[in-house]
Amino acid sequence: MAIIRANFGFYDSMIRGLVSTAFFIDASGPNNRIEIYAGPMPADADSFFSGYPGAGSPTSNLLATFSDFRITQNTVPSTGNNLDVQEAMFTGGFEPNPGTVTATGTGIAVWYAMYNTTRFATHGALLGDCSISGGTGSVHLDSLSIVAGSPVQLLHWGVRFQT
Amino acid sequence: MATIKFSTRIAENIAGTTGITSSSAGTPALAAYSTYNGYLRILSGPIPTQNELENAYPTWDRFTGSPSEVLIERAHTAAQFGSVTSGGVTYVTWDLELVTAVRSGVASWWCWSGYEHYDPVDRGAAPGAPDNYYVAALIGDITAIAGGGSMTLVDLNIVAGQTYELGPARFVLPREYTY
Repeated sequence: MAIIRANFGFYDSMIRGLVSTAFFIDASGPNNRIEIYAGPMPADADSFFSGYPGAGSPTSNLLATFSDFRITQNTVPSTGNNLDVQEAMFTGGFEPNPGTVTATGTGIAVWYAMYNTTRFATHGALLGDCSISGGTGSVHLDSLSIVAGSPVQLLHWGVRFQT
Repeated sequence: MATIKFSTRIAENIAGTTGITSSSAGTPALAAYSTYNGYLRILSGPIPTQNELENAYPTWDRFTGSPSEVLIERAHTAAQFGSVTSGGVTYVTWDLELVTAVRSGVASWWCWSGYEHYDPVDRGAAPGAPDNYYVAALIGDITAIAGGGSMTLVDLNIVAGQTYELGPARFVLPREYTY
C-alpha cells in the first residue's frame, strides 16, 4: 500500500483555494447560487452539469434556490492555527447567515449544487448533501421538509477535509 | 456521513491554487514569495508519522534548512506545475527535471512542500496584523519499482554529485470527499 500523507496546511490551502478564487468570491450577488434538490445526489458533478451553460440550470427536483450571497474568506480551521491535531476541519462562512428564500418545489431536501452562474465554465461546481443543524451535511437547513411557497432557511455551509 | 463532490474544473482550479503550487489568491505564491520557495525533496530515514507531520513540520528545518536526510532537492515555483484531466481523473503534473544529488544515502521518502501565505485580517484579526505563513506539505514513501510505494525509483541508492531524472510526475487529485 502506497503512503501519501497531507498536513493541515495543505488542506487549509485547498479549502481556501476553493472558496477564495473567483469561483465564489464574485462579491455578493445573484451569480452565486446554491440550489437545493430532492432525490439522490448525482454520481458525478460533471455529469449533472453536462448541459450547462446554454441549456439552463437543471430544474428536475429543484426545491429552492439561494442566491445573492457570498462565501466569506475567513475560512478558519476549527482548531484555529493549532497544528497538534490530526484532523483538519474547515468551515466556510455564509453571508447572510441565515439566508432565507421562498421554496419553489415540494419535497425532501437531500443534496445541493453550488456554483457561480457566470463562471461555471471556468470555475466548476460543487455538490454536497443537506442536513438539519447538528447533522452531517455540508449545508444545514432549518428543515428538510420543504413546501413550495414556504420559507426555507440556509443556516450554514461548510466543508471538511481530513488528514 | 457528509459527501462533497467537485466538478473537474474545481479540481483543476484547486490544483493551481493550493499552497503547493500557488497562493490561495490565485497568484504564483512560490514565485512571488521567493524567500519561501517550495521544494520537492527525496530523503533518507523513516517517513514521518501523521502526528510528526502535523506537529513538527511548521518549525522543522526540513522546510527551512537542508537537513542531513535530504539526498535530492529541487526548489520549485508554481510555473513548473500544471494540471491535466484524463479519463475523469484530475492530476497535478510536473515535467521532467534533471537534479544533482546533494548527499549519498538510501532514498525512503519524499516531501513536496510549499509555504502557504494568508492574511490574518481576512480571518477576523485586527487590521494591521502581520501576514502569516505556514507550510502545506505532502509526503509519501519511496520503494524500488514494483515495491508499491507512492514514488518508485530504479535504484534507491543515491550518490552525491550524480545527476538524476526527477519526473515527469502526476499526482491524483480526488474529486469526492466524505467525512
